[in-house]
Amino acid sequence: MSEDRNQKQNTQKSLGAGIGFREQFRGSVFLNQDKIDFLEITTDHYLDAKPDKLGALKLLKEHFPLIPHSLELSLGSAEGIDEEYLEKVAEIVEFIKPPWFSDHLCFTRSGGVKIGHLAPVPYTKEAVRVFVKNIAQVKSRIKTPLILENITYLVRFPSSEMPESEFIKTILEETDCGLLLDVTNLYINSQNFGFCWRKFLDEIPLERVVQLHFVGSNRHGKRLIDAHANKTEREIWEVFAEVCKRSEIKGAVLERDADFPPFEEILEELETARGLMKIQNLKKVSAV
Amino acid sequence: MSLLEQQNFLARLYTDAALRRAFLLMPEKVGAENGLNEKEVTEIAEIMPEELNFFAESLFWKRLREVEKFLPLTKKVLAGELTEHFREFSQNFNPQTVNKHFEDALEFCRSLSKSKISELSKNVAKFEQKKLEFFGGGQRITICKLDFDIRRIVRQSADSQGESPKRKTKFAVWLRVNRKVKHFFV
Ligand SMILES: [Fe+2]
Repeated sequence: MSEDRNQKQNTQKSLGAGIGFREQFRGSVFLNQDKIDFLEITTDHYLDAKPDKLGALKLLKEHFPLIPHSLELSLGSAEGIDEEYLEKVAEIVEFIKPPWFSDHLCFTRSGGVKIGHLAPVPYTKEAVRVFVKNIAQVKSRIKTPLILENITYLVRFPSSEMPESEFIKTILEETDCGLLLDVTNLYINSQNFGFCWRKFLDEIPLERVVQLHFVGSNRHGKRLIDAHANKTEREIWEVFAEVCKRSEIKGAVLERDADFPPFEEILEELETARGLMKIQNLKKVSAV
Repeated sequence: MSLLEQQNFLARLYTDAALRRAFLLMPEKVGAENGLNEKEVTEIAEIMPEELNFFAESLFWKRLREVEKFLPLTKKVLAGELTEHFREFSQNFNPQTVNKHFEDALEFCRSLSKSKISELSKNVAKFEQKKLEFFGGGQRITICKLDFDIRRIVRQSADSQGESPKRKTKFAVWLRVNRKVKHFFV
């Protein structure tokens, strides 16, 4: 990581614990401003937005620190970046002026077909080169630091040349990006494909973790899936706590998209997250 | 096989159920028909069929869940039939805009007017279609002619056991006055 960026991200104060903003939460977030440290907004909800929608975004911005999170940069697409989409994301990021913004380590479109969700790429040197090239293009347009999120995957490619951890590490180092570590995605993958998440943490550059995502997993048949529709379970809090112990994270976001519980439950989860993040800080204080 | 060719084919495999079924059954034949050589076919065929199908299904369900958020009333009247109709629709439509879920929901409503569903369900889908068009398009006024009095469904007061709405010509109206939206039936 370049010294400048390193300094910038290390001196960035922690944003605390926030939620992924959904329209259903609008009333509750304003009523509970003091209990929500920041909001992550899905950039895609505001692209080509009408003035009243942009007005609503402005209102959020006046009351909370905002972090933009986009879904379709498709950084792993071998056909390259969709410049029109990039331009729209850039406009939102410039409007918000956040300390960082994020997208995923995946591809979402190819050959005119939109897949509709985040699809994995084989872990090959060629795929690394594609990410490096696409990310360079994004960085040349948007100066705000981009951080990259690990996804859940349901298909594996026997043609992969390296494990996921090495793939992520290589891309982060070659692009000098931070990591948005989704601890739920990591836990789900570890359960579906039988690997140890602690070992995975040993293998990735934890000093590059900037932000966390967390939410409960859902079972579908014999697999766990990322439906974002459940309360965070004990096992995922365990991953969360471990990362907090080993990394200086700058913020954690609860990503709830469905089966919305009473808002108190959301606030309780934020409190738990905050508690785990403070343990890290307290430890640092006592170590000094 | 270049990553580009692989991704082009994978994107189609994930979203096109007929192509997926055919490829899993006869990978060499279907691969060749789609311009893949033997090595390329092997590389993709190595993906476990169970994983491929599970991922494709998960994409379908995620897409359906997003569309349902825009169409609560259509979901209510179609109940169990919704999935089957959306599955058929999803095979022939791939949303392209940044508002893909909105575009998907709107186009699905339009497709339901030609589907084999009850006249009442068609009316409810038409109502939600016009509502989406109004909010998505920014018109000053939208009028939707209905053959049923669906007001109880709209107000969410009709449960599944309740009396079904009567056949009666009604007009649903959405109106923008001084940047505020008014909605009523006449
Ligand atoms: Fe996430």
